[in-house]
Amino acid sequence: MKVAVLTVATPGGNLGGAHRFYLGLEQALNAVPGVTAERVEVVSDERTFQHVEESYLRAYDLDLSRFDAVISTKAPGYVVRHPNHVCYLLHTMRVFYDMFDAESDATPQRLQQRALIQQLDTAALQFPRTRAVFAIGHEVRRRLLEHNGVDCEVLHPALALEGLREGAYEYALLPGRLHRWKRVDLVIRAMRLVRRPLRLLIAGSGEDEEALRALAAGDERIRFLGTVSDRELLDLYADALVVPFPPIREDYGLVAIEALACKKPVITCRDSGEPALLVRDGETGFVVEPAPEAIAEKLEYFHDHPDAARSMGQAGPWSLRDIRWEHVTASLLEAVSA
Amino acid sequence: MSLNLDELMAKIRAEVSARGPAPSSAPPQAPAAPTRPSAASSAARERVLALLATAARYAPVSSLLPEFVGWGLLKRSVAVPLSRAVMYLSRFITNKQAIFNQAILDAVRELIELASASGASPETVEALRIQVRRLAIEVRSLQAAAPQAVAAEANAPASAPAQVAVAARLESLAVRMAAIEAQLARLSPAPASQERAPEGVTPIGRRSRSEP
Repeated sequence: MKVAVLTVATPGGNLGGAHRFYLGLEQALNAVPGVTAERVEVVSDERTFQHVEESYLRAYDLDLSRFDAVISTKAPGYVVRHPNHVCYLLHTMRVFYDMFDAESDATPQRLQQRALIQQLDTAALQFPRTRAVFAIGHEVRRRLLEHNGVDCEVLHPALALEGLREGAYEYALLPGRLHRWKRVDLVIRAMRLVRRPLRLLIAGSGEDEEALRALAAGDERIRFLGTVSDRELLDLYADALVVPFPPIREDYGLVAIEALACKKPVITCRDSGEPALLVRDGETGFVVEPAPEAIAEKLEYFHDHPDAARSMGQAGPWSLRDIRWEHVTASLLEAVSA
Repeated sequence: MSLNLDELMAKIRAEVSARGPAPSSAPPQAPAAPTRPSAASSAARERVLALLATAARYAPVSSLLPEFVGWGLLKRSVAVPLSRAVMYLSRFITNKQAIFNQAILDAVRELIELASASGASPETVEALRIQVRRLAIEVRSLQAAAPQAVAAEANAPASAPAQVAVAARLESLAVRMAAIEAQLARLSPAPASQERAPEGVTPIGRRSRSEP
């Protein structure tokens, strides 16, 4: 069976969690006997609403008829036309959903645009146009149900980064894209309240890097490492004491999964979406209020009790024991073969 | 409320067409290949510049003192002069490394300038050329392996799995090469690549793909 994994790239290319997800899914499908999976990329440009419309058209016009099945992953890929199409949803365009209020003015024009996108998504994800819908997490499922009335099964994707390991327990590590939705500023503000010589290493780059550097200026404990290679990231994870990860309503949070796999406790927030469900409060980390004070308290706790970090960390991989690519591919292939 | 995707998309197509020619305004059954819009090169350029800025911070290795974050005043007062001494003694190595680092940085900056003049990001063009070269190597090795697979399965049923697998892989690679070469042709006025799809492997479509 020839399967197209329909991925969506931004004009600048795929980086970070989505890229790893695509890679892992393609590899896992290719590991199934009789399946040949190939990634097909469609570019989605979200600079203006006109670009968004054109992106939807690009996905709709894709001819994937030479494939036996198509697995779409992200907006607007799921508008693709194929008789054997299932959707394994990373996320819709969040600026038209849960982040609409935060990102847009509620002008009549904007509200109309939001309605159109939600109608498109709802129509595209209906049976038989889409034979089955799966989501990468409960947060994505909840949003889909709330806004589109579409229910789906949750399949947590497994890791694609190989070589994760446990090393020393030395510093707080925050890897990922430096974007306001990741709320890196919360951790930097928390560091202002931390009265310990605990280092915070921030790996990654993004739109908000300059502002975050300015926010952290003067605190010698905070270091921005810029974009790091996978090998460097593995080393950074290995020697982390704790991974604070407080995004807002995160779809999945690969950072949390990678940290747990490295036996590192995670500090996340109650409104962080999927990480708040994946981290077991008090067992594999802490789920706290989205406030610098709460994060600072836990950072100091781990600095003062590295043994607690180590023992919580040991439970991390165990908590991920059911997250396996085999489960994902079995469900997806069953849906396309049905 | 009954939602019809085809009707909604037709409405969008009409709006897009009314605005003027757009990359995806082709009729539904004859789609254009998904291509990166021109914003792709500018975004890639921004990423290259960000990486260059990071590299530039760490380029002068011969003068970068460790930060000793979290060390007490007493420890720092010993560690800083000590590390200065070590760095001084190792300058015969680190100086050369710093010169090398700076030369690489300057070369990459020059490349960016050159590519900007021709309208394409050097990262994009070079990455695509590398992809084509890798794919060509893969195609050749598969073609070399194909006769052996055929010989090994001479007595096997007509749809020998190895033959089918090799043929499918070759087809897939040819498609990818065609897509990348098309992108290169659009981006670069120079010949896209010295490497071409091998004879007998006919590209059957055009699609873009993120990774080789």
